[in-house]
Amino acid sequence: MKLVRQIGLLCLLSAVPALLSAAFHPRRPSWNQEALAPGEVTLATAEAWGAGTLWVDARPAAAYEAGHAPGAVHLDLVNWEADLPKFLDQWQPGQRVLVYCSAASCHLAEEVAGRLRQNRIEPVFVLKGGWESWQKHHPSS
Amino acid sequence: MHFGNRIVRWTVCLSQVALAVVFTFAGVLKAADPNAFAEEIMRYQLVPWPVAVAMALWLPFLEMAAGAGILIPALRTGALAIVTALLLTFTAALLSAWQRGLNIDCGCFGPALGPQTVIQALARDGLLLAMLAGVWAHRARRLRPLTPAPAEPSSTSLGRISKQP
Repeated sequence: MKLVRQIGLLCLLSAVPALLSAAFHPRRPSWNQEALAPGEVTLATAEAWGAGTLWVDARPAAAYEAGHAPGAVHLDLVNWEADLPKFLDQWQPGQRVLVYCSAASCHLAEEVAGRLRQNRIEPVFVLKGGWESWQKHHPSS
Repeated sequence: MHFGNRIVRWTVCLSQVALAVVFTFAGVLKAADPNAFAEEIMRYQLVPWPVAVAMALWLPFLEMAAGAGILIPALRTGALAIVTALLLTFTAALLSAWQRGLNIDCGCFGPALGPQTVIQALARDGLLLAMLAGVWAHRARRLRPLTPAPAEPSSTSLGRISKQP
């Protein structure tokens, strides 16, 4: 009985700040957010990871030249053999890799991420909303 | 006190402190960014988004409460029970991810720390579970009487005692 009382008290104590966090935390999750696909992350999470993440731009080379996320390396399936060594120069084993393409509707990022995983490069994530999401949050880029 | 017993007591004490520190630290890091933690829970593909949100909001504080509770004698047993349940749940989720071939970032300490593979996380959970097993074993032994209860005196011996002046 004493054990149940202690567990109940600890659960109750933790529920109070959890409710406050749900109401006021600046980074509280939305209950209605569209579900993320496996391996997909939002821009907010990717930015919270900080500088340790290697960003990969999977759009065509011309789009990359026109503008890309700071520090992003270019890697697409068309120029895979030429781009992969440049990617490997930047990547450290165990480092997070985040791949993006133009928008939520494109599938280039998933394809590049899949190809990287086949090459035993882990962990690899895909940016939800891609470059479109980046531009929405960083209009000056 | 016997030297061996003293070593056991110190080991148990240090294990409890280590568990308290690990759980409180993990809770603080996850509570800093509940949105990222909810996304990390989703990567396990075990629960729908609203459940992941509820877990992301509550689990960090439960970890902190349980971690701190280990250091408070009046709450220790309950805190250890919660920590045990959480660790077994985390280990089951990691084993399930490993079995399904999901090579994901474990999310055990929120997004602030660098990525950890499932195998690294399983190794760490194994160590923490071993510590917990030691703590529970020590508590069970303390609750058990150390020496057998004295046997009921027989009628013969009582007779002898009564004959003494």
